Amino acid sequence: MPNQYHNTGKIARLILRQDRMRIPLWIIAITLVTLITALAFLGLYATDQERQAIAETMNNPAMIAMVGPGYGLDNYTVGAMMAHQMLLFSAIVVAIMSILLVTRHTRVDEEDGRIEMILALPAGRLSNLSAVTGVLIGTNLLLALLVGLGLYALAIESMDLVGSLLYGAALGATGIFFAAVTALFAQLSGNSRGTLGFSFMILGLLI
Amino acid sequence: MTVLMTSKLTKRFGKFTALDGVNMEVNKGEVYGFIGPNGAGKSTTIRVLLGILKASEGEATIFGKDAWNDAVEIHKQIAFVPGDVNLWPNLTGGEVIDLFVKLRGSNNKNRREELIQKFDLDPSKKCGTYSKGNRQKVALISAFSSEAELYILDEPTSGLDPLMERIFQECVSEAKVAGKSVLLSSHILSEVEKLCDRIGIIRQGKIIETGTLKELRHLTRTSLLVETIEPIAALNDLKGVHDIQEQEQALSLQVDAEELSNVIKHISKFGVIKLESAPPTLEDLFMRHYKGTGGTSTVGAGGAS
Ligand SMILES: Nc1ncnc2c1ncn2[C@@H]1O[C@H](COP(=O)(O)OP(=O)(O)OP(=O)(O)O)[C@@H](O)[C@H]1O
Ligand SMILES: [Mg+2]
Repeated sequence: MPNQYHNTGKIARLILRQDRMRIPLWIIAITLVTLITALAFLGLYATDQERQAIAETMNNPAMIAMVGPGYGLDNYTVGAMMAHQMLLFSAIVVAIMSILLVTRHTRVDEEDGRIEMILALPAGRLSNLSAVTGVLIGTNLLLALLVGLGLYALAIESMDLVGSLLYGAALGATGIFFAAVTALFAQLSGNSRGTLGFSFMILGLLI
Repeated sequence: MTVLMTSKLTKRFGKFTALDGVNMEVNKGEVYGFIGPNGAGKSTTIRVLLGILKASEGEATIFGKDAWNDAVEIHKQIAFVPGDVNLWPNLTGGEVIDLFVKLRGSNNKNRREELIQKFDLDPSKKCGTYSKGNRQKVALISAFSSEAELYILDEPTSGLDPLMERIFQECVSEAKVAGKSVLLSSHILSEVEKLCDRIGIIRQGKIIETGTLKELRHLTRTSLLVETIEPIAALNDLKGVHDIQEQEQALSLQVDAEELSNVIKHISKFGVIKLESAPPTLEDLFMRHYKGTGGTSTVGAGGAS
């Protein structure tokens, strides 16, 4: 039934309007931290020797427990460092962003009775959910693009365009996945705390 | 013409039956008062009518369309105000009014400005800073500035001050004059008494009484205050007399509507100095239903239908 989605666009605009500060702040913060970290790696470990030295220190149980088993340790470039030490951490932050934003516009709005006001207007029953999903997909795509292009723009030797975009895409895909998971739990669980709890549980299990 | 109708409407939440066969009908151009104690099922009925909840059994139609399946179509012509309006804290009141107008697709700009003035709302403030009454005003302004055919109002004046309450009543009267229909759920009986053409009383998920105020009054008692030269004899033995109380020289009592003329005849024999009669207020009528006494058995006796 197409009526189920009536006015989705207008509701999406309403969500964007409410989050006109929040979403840009998330995107800018995540992008900046990523870029600054890449630059820091570049400055900290300027030569091959230094990078190999740090690669050696990654090869012990404590570090593996913290950042995961190393890959590309035998040729430990800045690109490899980013993928190794930074990607997982950023992915968690992106997942948290998606979980919080989706919960905010589904369960929390419902509990406060705002969804009821919208539903009493000519809006479809699934319009809010699809609007939230749309906004989150857009947000994550934009984030993926900014991080990807940003990393590429730093012109670090070991990070070419494809590699940079892939890095961004990995973050964006994580964000979209967790947006979908949270949207699902928003339907299944009785309240916003439940939604947050289940979504973070999935995050904990997968990572 | 029937604008809104429910028939044998039943809503269960798990094992709990919130609505138990509600039959209700609102006609075009009519203000229908929907009253009943807390938890009686008013808001639940309204949620089913708005297509927010799905009925377990029975039928709910508005403009002849199904409340659940045709919700989007129906909502283009109705305006809803809940009793506890929650808005988006970082949008301004004006932005929210605009949003509702945009979603509804119909707009009357002059009317909107007029209402903002009348309700004395500052639309440039963020909703997060509004008081309860001001949030209520935002919903009322957007409802009454829309070109709706039916207004569904669920305790719309909760939190409004008496002045604003008056403005609200004007809005309802104007809507009625314009041929619009209103479903008004309220605990403010004087408001219902003033505005409503017909009233439905709901208790424990069942409509226990419907009719015009006049019809409903027929079923109840009139209060009398009499002062006579001689003491009234055998008053206690008269049929239909209740609650006799001495008040200084006078006597106050309540009389069943159908026995009123007999009682007056009896009293007049004792030389009436003063006689005051007050029609039963909706409150008197209502209290009996709220407390669960009187109720349906008297309805049968009164036979007003
Ligand atoms: N989602 C729900 N789940 C379970 N029970 C519910 C739900 N919604 C309402 N109820 C129950 O249904 C009954 C009717 O509630 P409703 O809100 O319709 O009452 P009301 O007549 O509007 O009361 P009030 O005058 O206090 O607003 C109450 O007992 C309430 O607890
Ligand atoms: Mg209610």
